[in-house]
Amino acid sequence: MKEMPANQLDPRVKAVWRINDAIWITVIGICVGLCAAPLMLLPNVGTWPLIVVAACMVVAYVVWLAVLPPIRYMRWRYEVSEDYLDIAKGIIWRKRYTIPFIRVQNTDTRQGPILRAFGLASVTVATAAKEHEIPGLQFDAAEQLRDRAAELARLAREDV
Amino acid sequence: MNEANPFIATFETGRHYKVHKSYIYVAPIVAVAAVVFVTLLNGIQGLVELYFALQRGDISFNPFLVVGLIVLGLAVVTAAFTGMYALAWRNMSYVFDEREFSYYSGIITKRRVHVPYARVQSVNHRASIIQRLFGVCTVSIDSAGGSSNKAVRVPYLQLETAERLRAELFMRKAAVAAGLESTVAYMPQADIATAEGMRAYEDRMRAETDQAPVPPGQDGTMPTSWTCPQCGKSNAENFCGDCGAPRPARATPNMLDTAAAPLGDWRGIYGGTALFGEEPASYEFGLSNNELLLTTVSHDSPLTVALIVCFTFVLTLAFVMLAQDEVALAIATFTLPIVVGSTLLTWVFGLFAVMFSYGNFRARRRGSRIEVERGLLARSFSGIDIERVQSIEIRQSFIRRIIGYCELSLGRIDIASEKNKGNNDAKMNGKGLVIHPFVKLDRVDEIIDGLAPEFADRPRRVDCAPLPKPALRRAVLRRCIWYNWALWIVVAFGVCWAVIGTLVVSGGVHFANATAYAQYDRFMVGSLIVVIGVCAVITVARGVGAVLWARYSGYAWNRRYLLIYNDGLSTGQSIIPRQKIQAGVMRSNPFQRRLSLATLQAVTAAGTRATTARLVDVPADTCSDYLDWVKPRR
Repeated sequence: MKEMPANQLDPRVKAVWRINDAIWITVIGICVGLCAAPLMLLPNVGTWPLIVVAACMVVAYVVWLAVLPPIRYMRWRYEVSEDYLDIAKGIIWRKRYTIPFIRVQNTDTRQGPILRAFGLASVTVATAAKEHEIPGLQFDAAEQLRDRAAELARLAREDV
Repeated sequence: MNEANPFIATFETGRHYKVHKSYIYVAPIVAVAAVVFVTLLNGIQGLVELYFALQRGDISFNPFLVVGLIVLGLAVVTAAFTGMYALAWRNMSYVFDEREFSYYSGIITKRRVHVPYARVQSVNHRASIIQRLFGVCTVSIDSAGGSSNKAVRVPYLQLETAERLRAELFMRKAAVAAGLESTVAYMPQADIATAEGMRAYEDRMRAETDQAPVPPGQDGTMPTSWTCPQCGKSNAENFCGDCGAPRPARATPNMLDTAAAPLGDWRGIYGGTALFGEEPASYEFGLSNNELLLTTVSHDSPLTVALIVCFTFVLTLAFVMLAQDEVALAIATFTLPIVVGSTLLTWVFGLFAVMFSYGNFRARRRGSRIEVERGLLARSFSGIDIERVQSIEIRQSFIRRIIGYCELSLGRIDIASEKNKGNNDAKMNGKGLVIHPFVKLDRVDEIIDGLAPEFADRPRRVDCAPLPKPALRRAVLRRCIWYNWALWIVVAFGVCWAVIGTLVVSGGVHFANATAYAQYDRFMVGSLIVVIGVCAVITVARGVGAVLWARYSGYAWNRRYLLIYNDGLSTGQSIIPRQKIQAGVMRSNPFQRRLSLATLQAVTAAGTRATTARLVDVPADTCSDYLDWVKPRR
């Protein structure tokens, strides 16, 4: 097997993932809870629906806030070489991408409110077919990476 | 004259050209007809009710008044439409500037679409039946660029203008590429019609032909020498040395094409004469009798109708046999021929529609472009530059697989057009550009070498490395258990059956008498047997597919091309140039990792968004070699 790409994301991205996932789990939990609430009107049901929903939420919080982020962080790697971008990610379904820079059409940096609060940004590399995102890099690093990718995309030429 | 200058324009630079006037009087009629048709379809129930009301004498009216009102209404609507189209026509024009083509349109909101010549990728045109009658067509100009790009559509151009427009766009593109756009010289058509102008124009065309790289491997597909049909001279070049006639294209005409030759070549009222001096095709073919027939018969839509015919026949027959009193029998025997007859008619009609849509099918290589023309009544023309071919796809449906035929198509970047009316266009888009709908496997190489000699050094099926041993076991498990929807239906059915059974046994359901219980029993057992039987057949078929897949699928790559072959009950073979792979992907799940396997994926830009060719269970080491191969070389 090939060795993994060299670079890791900024460690603070774990906090970003946690906040992001916490918001999602809370929103979805509240929605499900609201849908389940009318069940309590049935006889002999009591507060069971809410207890089940709350239990599921607790499990989800534990999995997405405590268990997954460190593993995901460990698995997420990228490397920008002269000619291509190498990305490896995924915990159970592991994916490895090779994106030649000659196919890259544009690169940009994006920053949502949570990323901004941590001074992070994500770099998006778009080819004619798909977009590939590297999330959670320090803002300066992201800008540099974007510029470098754009530069390499401009320079790259093939002899084939 | 301009003999030294290869760039002769037949459209004046900077001048506004209008589309053909038939736009004013044909387009509104088509639109009104569509409106009337839809109204009738929606109002059919109302009409039937009206008819019965009239029969009963509930209402009565003066027929002349009604007919007069209808005619008046239609006239008003048509007039309104015509006015609108006339206004639209006044505001519609196209201009060739030095570096870009512009299309102006819009009555209230004025629009101008620019297409820089350098970005023109393909210029296609299609004509509906009515448009063909008048010899006009709608041209669509596809330009390169992300998926947000839309094709520019110029409606109602005369066929002759459309052909000139295509030649003009590519000529100006070549001029811009050579940095000579300022030397493009305008020569009015009247001049071209004179002998001297014609010579200059032909010289230009010939110069362009000479510039085009001569495709290698052409010898096997076309005889090197040919005899001029006009003067009898034997030639080796593409033009006759004596009279300058172009080399006739080789085509195998089928029955339909021969019978309807005048119709196929008919250019309509305003079509004008065919563009002369156009670069000759270096390879061309049509469909043979068998191919046309098989294409028609195996086409999805008539096939579906055929199945419906069988189904209705069986159903109505069952009704006749089960009819217990005389009235029911009478009704059943009465409806049987009507139902079967009408579905049969629809089927035959569908067959002819498909046959006509593939009538006069021509695929050819002209210069750097591959062109496909088809349709006996409505006609479409699409072309693609060889540089823009994302992949070659060789697909076999189940029927094709059994008789050793396949469908040959080119993957291309499809542009989401503004008016994709869900007609054939949209259907064809999913498959890329079909260059042969039904061809025998052993002719595939000949056709690819003829149309796209650039792909000559592609890997072949024999070069494919087979999948490793564990692929078979994994494929059988995957297709017969995990992804087998039939199995899950049986499971779901079994659960329902068990629940109902438990209810019955526990006394939750009461039966009126023993007969009712017997009926219930028979239904439960019968349905279970039928469901299990059908699902077993499906599972066995999937198992056979899995074995075929694991045994014969494979992959191969050489310096320039990747070949991915997925076998099974239906097969798919993708030949992808390395330069068209946007991203190489390797994917694995825990089970695959335990066996050192991975899924190999190649993402290309074909289709409207992206297409991924994949092969499951390739050795992981090979897969990472593949990722290295995808990397650009210097």
